[in-house]
Amino acid sequence: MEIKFPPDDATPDEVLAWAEEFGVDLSMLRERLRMTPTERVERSLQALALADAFRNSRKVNHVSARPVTESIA
Amino acid sequence: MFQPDRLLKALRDAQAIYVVVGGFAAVAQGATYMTSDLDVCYQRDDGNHQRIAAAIQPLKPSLRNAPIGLPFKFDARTLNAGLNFTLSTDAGDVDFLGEISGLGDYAAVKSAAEPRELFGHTVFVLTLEGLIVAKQAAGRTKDLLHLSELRALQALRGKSEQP
Repeated sequence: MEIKFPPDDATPDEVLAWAEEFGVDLSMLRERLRMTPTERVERSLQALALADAFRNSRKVNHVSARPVTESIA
Repeated sequence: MFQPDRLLKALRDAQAIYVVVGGFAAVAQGATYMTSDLDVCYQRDDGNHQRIAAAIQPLKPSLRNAPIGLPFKFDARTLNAGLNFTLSTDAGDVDFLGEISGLGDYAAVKSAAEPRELFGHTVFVLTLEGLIVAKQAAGRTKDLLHLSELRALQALRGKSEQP
């Protein structure tokens, strides 16, 4: 994978314009920068727990849904 | 379950010498991605190896992705004999790294780190600049994707948008 990054001597505005174009959510980064490091980690852990819960619920739904699917078939 | 506060407390209580690096450091510095392990670069000397082993042994460490039943004891002797260790523990996954790509050993990493308050205590965390150098050197696809966010964070700080 090749990504064309802005040069090291690019101004902050140039880097931010590039990042936004690349798809970086700057509003989310600004929100994180207003937090303390501990709050940032806790937010990441919450997102991780949510992702795990979603992944586990999909597994449960997949297993419980199978007999229904099979009976319809 | 990943409990970084527990891992950091164990290392602190044992007075281990290390710098928080990798994805966890990036999150502490403001990155938005999720990370489920703690990466640390540790000082390599016998005393610190003993402190790290004492901190981690109660958390029942095992080698991650190793064959089941492979004998493994995480002690100072093991640390002396190796460099990088990827462990699973009762408090989640933790990687002990003797060197970081693009930066070097603990001394080099420490010089690119800054003190940060994490869970009520001061911990040395790799700076955004250090993370960028390390991610550039690692060069994996995921590192390059993370690099875009780190560069943006650096630019936001450059514009003094951070308090």
